[in-house]
Amino acid sequence: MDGKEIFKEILKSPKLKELVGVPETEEIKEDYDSQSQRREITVIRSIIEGQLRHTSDDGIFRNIKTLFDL
Amino acid sequence: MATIINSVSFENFYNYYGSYDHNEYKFKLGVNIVNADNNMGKSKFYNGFMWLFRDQVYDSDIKAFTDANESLVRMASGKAKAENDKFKVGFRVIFSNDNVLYSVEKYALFKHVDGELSHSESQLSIMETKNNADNPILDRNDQQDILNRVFIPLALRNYALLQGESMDRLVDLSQKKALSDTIDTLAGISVLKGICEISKKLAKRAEDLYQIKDSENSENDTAKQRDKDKRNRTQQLIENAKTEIEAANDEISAAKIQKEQLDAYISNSSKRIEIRSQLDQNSISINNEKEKIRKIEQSITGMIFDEENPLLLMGLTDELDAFDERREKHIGELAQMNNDNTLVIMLPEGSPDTSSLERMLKNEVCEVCGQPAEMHSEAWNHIKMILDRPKKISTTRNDFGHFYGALQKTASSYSRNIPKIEGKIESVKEQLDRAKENLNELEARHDDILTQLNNAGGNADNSEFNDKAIISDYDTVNTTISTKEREISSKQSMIVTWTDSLSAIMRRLASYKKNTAIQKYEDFAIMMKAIDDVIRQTKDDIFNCTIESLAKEANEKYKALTKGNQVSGGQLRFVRDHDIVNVSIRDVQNGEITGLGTGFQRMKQLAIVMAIISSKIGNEKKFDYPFISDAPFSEFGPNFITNFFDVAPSVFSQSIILIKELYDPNADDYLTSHGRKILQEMKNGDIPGTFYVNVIDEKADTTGLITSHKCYKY
Repeated sequence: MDGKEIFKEILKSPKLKELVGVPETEEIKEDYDSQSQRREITVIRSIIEGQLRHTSDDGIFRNIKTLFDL
Repeated sequence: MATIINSVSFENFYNYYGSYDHNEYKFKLGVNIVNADNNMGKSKFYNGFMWLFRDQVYDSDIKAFTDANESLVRMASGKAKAENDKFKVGFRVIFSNDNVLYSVEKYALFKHVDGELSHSESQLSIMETKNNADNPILDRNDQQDILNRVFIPLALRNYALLQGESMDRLVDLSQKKALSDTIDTLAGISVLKGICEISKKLAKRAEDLYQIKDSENSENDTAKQRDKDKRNRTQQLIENAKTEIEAANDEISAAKIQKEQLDAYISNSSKRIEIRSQLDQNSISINNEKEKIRKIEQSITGMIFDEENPLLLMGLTDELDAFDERREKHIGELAQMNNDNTLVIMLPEGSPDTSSLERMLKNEVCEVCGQPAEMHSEAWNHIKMILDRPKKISTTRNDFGHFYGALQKTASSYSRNIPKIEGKIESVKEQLDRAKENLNELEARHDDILTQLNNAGGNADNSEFNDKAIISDYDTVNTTISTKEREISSKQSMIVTWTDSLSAIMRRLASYKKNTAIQKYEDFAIMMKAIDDVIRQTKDDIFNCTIESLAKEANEKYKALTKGNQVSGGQLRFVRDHDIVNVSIRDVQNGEITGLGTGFQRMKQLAIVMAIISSKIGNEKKFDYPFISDAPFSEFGPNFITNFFDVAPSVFSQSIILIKELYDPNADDYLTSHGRKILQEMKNGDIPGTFYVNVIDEKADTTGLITSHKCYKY
């Protein structure tokens, strides 16, 4: 499975739909290669990218924190 | 993102003599066959990849991998060494991945200096071609990156490069975790698991960060601080209980695996006891029969010299008459005696009598030869000696008479029994044959009973004591399972109680006024936790989905690979137990099948690997990298080979199969009829790919051997 496929599978998660406020019967319309307005989706993509690019945990955490202005 | 090998070439590499251009194999998507007899370069071909990836080569003499740098002289073509002062030994592979073309070359340079052959160390050269622009990759790390990540990733190499028996080790089904690991690697779940791990760590760090910030902010708020301490303690208790539950679950999993193994023994224990009793009875009968045989054989020695009817006399029926005849004759001879009871000396016919001898002495002439015999001469003394020869015989007639008489008297009692000896021997032989036949039957029965015992999970060495030990182990395992299940249940109810307390504490904590800065950290921690839950759930869903798909795919592949075999290979069954997947082969009654031949076992391995690849989640359900296999079919018949070529293109984007089973050295085209059939299928487009045959132009010893090839289909 590559990053895109994993991303696609995660988008199917009912818990994620609940988290981003999308009804369970609908799809979350997000593209792996495009910027998302949803912070949750951006975080998920950052984690996938970080794993695939072998970025350190510190590096990924730093990137995510900036999304939250922390 | 698939890697496709466009070509593989050799330069003065083992018996691939000559330049890369002369020894180039161009490959395509699908099945690429290199058909070659023994010693015609299959393993050498494979060794090119070993040299490139592992800096090792397989030495068929010692049947082990050796350091390539130490084997370079052996790797160099014998003809190149003999004929060239300077030459290169090289292996080159050109592959493409993601619209980028790579030319990878591993080589060493050789030269003769003062009659001595010297060479450089192995060197690696990589050229990357993107949008028609060549870019040499010089950095060693970048080179390794291309080999280990782009060409064939390290994690997949065990499945991509297979040599003969290594297929047996493809998935170590004896190790329960091995199949899960294989699924993780081939179905790409490893990446997802890695994401899961990171997400868990990040959620923990977000929570810790929030706690630090919140504590800093509420240092002076004792009530809140107290609640926070309580929350931390409760969270810790819950965390500890979860860890303990996880450990207990692991113990249960281990106990269940042991239980499963013991189940087979336990279910057959009463059967084994019955079989062992049969075995004991059979052993007693065997010993009895052996003793019987021993006694019969021993009695034969006694019977030979038996007082009543010795076997020794067999065949002597007429000897008594012959004895009589000889005796009569002898008696007749004895009857010719002188009057004084002295024996008549029977001289040869024409011999002189006593009076003639006396006369010869007196006249001093030998009347036999007419020669003079002067008194006291040698001739005269000889005549005198004949005259004076002893006339009386010391033996008496009665001595012989008594002897013969006694002998005849004794023999006459035997003579009546001599004709019965043959019958007696025949009867003993029949008894012996019968006993030996019984022994053979008993020993065959012994083997049968042992087989039954083996099938029932026992062997000749283990005893009822082992069965008792098994029963004891079984009890222990069951006790462990029930104890741990109780422990888990108790911990779970404690977790429920603690979670309730925690909720109350959390509600109280939420009611404390927070400043906006702290709220941001809390929102961050909550979201990271939620994302972690999402990712973990997705991983579990994908794993479950993969297993389900695996069971279906594996059986379809297994069926396709074993199609047309006389013996049924059974059904593959997959069972998930936490993170472990068990696989077994079941018959139609769901009984486990064991003892299938090597061919079937390899098919099982291959079917599982093919099925795992086909069970991948995502659009691409093929192995994205070349599958290169040297002599994979040594244990397979033509039926399996055909099945493999039918199935492989749907699983492996590209496979390179080095094979000898389609080679016939006596045929003009070097192909067996099976090889011709597969070639035809390729030509018809039924099997995509290429077909090469390696040939040796001239017979030579290994050092002078030159392999070239013919391309039958590209």
